[in-house]
Amino acid sequence: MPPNATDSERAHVIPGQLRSAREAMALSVAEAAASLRVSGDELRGWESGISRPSIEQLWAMSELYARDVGYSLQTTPPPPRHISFRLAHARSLRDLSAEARRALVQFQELCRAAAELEALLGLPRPRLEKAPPSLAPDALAQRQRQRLGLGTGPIENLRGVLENEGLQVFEVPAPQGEFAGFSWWYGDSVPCVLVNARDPAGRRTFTLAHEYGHLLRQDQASLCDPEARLPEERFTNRFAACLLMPEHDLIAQCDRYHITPTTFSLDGVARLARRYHVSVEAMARRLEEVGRVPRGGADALIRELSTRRPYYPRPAIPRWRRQVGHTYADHAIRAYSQGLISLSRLAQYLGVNVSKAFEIVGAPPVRAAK
Amino acid sequence: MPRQPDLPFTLYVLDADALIRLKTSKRLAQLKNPGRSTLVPERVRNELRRAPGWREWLDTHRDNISGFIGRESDAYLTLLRQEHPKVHDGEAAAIAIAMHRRNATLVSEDKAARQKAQHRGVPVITTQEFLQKWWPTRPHR
Repeated sequence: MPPNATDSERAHVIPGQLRSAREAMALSVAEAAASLRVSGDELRGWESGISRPSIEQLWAMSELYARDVGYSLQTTPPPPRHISFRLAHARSLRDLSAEARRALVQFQELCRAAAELEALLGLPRPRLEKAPPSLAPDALAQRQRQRLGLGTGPIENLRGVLENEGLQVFEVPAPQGEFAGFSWWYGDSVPCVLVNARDPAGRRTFTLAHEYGHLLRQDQASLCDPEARLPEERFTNRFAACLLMPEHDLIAQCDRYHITPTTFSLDGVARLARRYHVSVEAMARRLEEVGRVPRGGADALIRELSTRRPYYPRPAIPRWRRQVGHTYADHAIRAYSQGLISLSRLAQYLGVNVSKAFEIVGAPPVRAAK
Repeated sequence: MPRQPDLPFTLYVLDADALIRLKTSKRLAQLKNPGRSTLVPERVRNELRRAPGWREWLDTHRDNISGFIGRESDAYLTLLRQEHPKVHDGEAAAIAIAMHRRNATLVSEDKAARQKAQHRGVPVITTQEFLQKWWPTRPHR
């Protein structure tokens, strides 16, 4: 757009939305202005409401900030102001790669979509209970198992169970090793969890349980890597381990598979890991906790594991559905079939192109009159 | 601008959903019939470009693609700002263009877009109705 665009061709953006979109990508004014080919003063003017961008500049910003065009024009709950970085290598958004930051923004957009779907379909509000601060992780896990009716054995589909509770779980790909999970309350009312889709299945399950622990404790938005085993993560790691691998059942299985401090093997531990849908690393550490692997044995097992070729089973469901989850996908498709959202919006919500969205909803071809 | 309903010429403005439905019905290739006019907003083109199998069609139908003229961009931004019901980028562009072009009709399945367009006096038809107007005698096989 030429700089002399008329006033009516300039977008009435909401300054705070522009600023929060830029900050969520951890871009400085100078960096963003350079990408948008405008001066820093001009961008500052838009962000403070002194001046307004042209329509082309609005489109360029939506590309740069990885947001929907409407984001700058409507008021939405802001991205998390304070993120608790529970990572070994990063203490701020700027320490993350651009791809990891983009994944976080993609997650925030999915949370926004989930809240919109909730409002459109008149869905009930999530009923997550707050964990009493005095409760130990083992007791909290036990209480959650009872509340969710999970019995005493392995949890076959933790994601499905938590989604039924109103939790929004998204698997978004981010560079492996940068972070494993992120959790926050979108607009203070929708509990949302991001799990790094590039992590193996067992690790994703543990991350989900770990982030669920943060939400129960009403912690502020947390970016985590449970494998880093940081001291501040001790509670949620222990909670996740107890929730996924309850001690009583685990001991019984160890007896069945003859896993004792003197007879344990990597194959036996791997078999148990498959049974509880967790990683071999998580299982080895849990077995050490319950005394079925001697102290230091878990590290030895993990070292032995690293010499083996990893095996990643082919996912049984399409990538787009794995990313957004069954519940969210079903809600989005329902909203489309009820005429509440357009095909383009559905495509955006599901993270696919419009043709794919059409294929997913399976709309019949139209016929000309006879 | 006052409408002239008796004029035989009608400009059909299509959104992404309508175009995909036409493609599924194998009618897309025939959109360029002489004497008829269809228009695809640039924002809709951008949505379709990401989908496989569309690039070639969009490249060979450049004449059918249009950006905003005059106050269309203003109408587009106004539509995007509004909530309840909310319209998406491509639909907002299609309504904005249909609002300001002479004898334009919006072809869309989207309830929110249809409602907004009708509220602004823009005639709206579904893809099915569009096909009936376009090929009234030849049944699709």
